[in-house]
Amino acid sequence: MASIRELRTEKRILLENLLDKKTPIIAAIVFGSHYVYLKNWLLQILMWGLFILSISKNEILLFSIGWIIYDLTRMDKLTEKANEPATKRIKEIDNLLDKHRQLQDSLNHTLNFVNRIKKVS
Amino acid sequence: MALLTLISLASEIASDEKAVESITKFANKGATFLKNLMRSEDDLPEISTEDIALVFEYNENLFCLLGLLIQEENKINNKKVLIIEEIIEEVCLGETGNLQEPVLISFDSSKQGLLEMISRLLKTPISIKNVTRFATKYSLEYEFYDYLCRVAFKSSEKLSEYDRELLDSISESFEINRFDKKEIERKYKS
Repeated sequence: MASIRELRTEKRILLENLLDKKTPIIAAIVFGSHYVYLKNWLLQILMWGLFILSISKNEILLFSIGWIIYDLTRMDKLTEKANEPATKRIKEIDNLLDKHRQLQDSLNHTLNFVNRIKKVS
Repeated sequence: MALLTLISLASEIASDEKAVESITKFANKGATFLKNLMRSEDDLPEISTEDIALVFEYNENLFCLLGLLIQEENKINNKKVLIIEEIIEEVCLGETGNLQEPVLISFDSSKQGLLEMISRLLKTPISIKNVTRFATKYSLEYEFYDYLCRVAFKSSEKLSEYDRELLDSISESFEINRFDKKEIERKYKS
């Protein structure tokens, strides 16, 4: 079994990497790996678009809004795809940690049993 | 499933050598597991080879003793097997069992492996003298007699002559006084 300390460290690093998506917006556009900045930017445009639409009633804005919504979903899928190896590994680590916890509990029961017998002898 | 395994294995005619071989194999797996455990783990409780050996010795004595109850005329009493299965669950595999599945998996074994080993133990003849020595050493006489009564009394409404004689000889060997003996038996008498 791998060292539990190593597994926990690996999980922490992976989680930090997943959260650390502050890629500069230019790079995000160029490489298509849009993360938090781009998403926030698109969401702001969407909100402004909806606001302007509600005031101006200009139906041509509907097309741009539709495009932004499509882009947001596409971006989510891209992010998910990019994060897949990390999330997969986190699941594996969780599984190993869970097995470790179960083994720990079981060994405690074995020890309690042994102590009970030794106590009365 | 476990019951089927027990019945099918119990119906086989296994030699003593086979039983001993199986126990040795199991114990060796345990020893390898302990070596790996000591080499790697950070926060697992410390458990010694002697502790594991004691668990094995307890299970060996208990199940060989219970096996005496099902060795009557080489017949398999399904009710007795069912109750023994309950005891296996309680003593070994259950919530507070002494050899739960995660520990068995670390031994590179399984629940099935343990059941096979126990079914061999049930068929292994053991001298009451040896069990008494172990039970007296760890003050387990009452506990072992309680398990015996549970299997004997709960499996039939009327105790067979064989079971009665066996219980009497074991209680005598365990030096259980007759008041305590009656008290334990009353717990399981319907």
